[in-house]
Amino acid sequence: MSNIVQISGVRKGYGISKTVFEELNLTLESGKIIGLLGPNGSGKTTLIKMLAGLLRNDAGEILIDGMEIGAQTKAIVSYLPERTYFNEYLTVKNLIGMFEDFYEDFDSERAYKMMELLDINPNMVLKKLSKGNKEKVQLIMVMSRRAKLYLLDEPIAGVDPAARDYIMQTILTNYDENSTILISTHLIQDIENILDEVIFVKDGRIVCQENADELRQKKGQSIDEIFREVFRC
Amino acid sequence: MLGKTIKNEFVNRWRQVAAIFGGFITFSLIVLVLGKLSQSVIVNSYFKNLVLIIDGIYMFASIGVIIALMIMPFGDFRTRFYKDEGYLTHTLPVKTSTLVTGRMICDLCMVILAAVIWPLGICIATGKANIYSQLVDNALWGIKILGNTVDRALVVGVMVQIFIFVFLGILFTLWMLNAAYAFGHMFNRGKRVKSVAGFIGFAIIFELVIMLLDKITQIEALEKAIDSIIQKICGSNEVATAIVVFGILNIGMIVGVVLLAIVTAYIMKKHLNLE
Repeated sequence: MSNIVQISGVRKGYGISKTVFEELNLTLESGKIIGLLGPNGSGKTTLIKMLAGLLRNDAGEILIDGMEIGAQTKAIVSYLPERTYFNEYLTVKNLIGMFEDFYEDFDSERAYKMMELLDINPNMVLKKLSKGNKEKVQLIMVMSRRAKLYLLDEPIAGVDPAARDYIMQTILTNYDENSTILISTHLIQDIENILDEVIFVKDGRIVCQENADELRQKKGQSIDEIFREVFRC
Repeated sequence: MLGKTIKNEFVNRWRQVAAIFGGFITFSLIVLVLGKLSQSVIVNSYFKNLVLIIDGIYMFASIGVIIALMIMPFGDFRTRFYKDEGYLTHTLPVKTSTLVTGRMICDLCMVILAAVIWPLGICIATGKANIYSQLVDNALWGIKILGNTVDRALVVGVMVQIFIFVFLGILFTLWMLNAAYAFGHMFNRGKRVKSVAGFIGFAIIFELVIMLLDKITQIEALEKAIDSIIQKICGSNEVATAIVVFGILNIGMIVGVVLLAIVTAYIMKKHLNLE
């Protein structure tokens, strides 16, 4: 299996006072669903933002599919932030047109189908959609790409259980088996069954990176229980 | 990708542009209609006073359009590059330089559009299509009083250059705001204060460059060379000289805009910090 992400010696801080990663080394293999697990403030979002190209690392090297972060890596990375990031005055159709323009791997037919299933009118302005539907539209846009790497930052945080089911189902039914999904969350119970691999992040350090099934067998506990044990205050 | 980036800029910004210019043209039409009505004998003095007040508001609004031309695109830059929408803008598979170039071209189109719409609005509001030829006539009359006679085409040339200078000045200020904002957002704390400091810094650098250029052109040999070039082009005609001088200033302004865009792109490429 080839590596989709290679991080070596990465340092990242916010100003002089706060260092998030002192020296981060991490490798992610292709074709896996990987859970990036850790409590709030552990560095999950910072790591995902660095991979998406929204934050620059202070030192070290980050390679995605062997390339440094830039326009080429952004063409193969599909990123779902923890906030809604679309211009609310655009219509859903505008948005689909924009994704079609910029991302060669975007499947507009799939996007329209998913919108139809949710009963979302493509001519509707995003501003008129409910908060839940806006989040779903965002997820649909991100998952309608045939990307090599999906970066999903807290996709199920702050949503009701029914919406959680929809999100998980959308992710599972739309991702390509050869691609990699990196999901950051602290709601482990909801996603642990779909994970191939787990990464525990604590205070900017990777404290565990293991195959999910092997870890469960080794400890005789669920990932959620192991997480609670590792991060007990 | 540049074409797609420009298209994306227009898709995202046309509502804003339509609101500014559509609003201005509509207001101009209202002023025209009210002006015509106030000339009618059937209206009373209260109505005439009201029209005078509205005319005053229109005057401020026409200046407001120019200010909005700087503030609204800057607000849009802030939203789409540094607020929530920045998460999409900066994850598009496009080089930062292309993003910035696309934006600069869109800003330029907006300024060109303003340079067409704004005078048009004034023509509509005053109900006079020949308002600008009257302006030229007045300038010619002023020059005549000073004891000179100048070709009409040259006066028009100077006015056009001044007009371009004003609108390029708007573009330059806008990009100074953008660059300063990008500078301030390199840091983790005190972003607003540092953005303001950045703006002041850029303004000082701009002043220093002008002072430096001024000193350079005062070097005797260079001054003579410049004078002889201008003499060759314009002869002893002062208005023609003014056209050349404004032309040089306008080119300088374009260079300034491009340099500020390069600075903005560099900051975003090397120090993007979307916390």
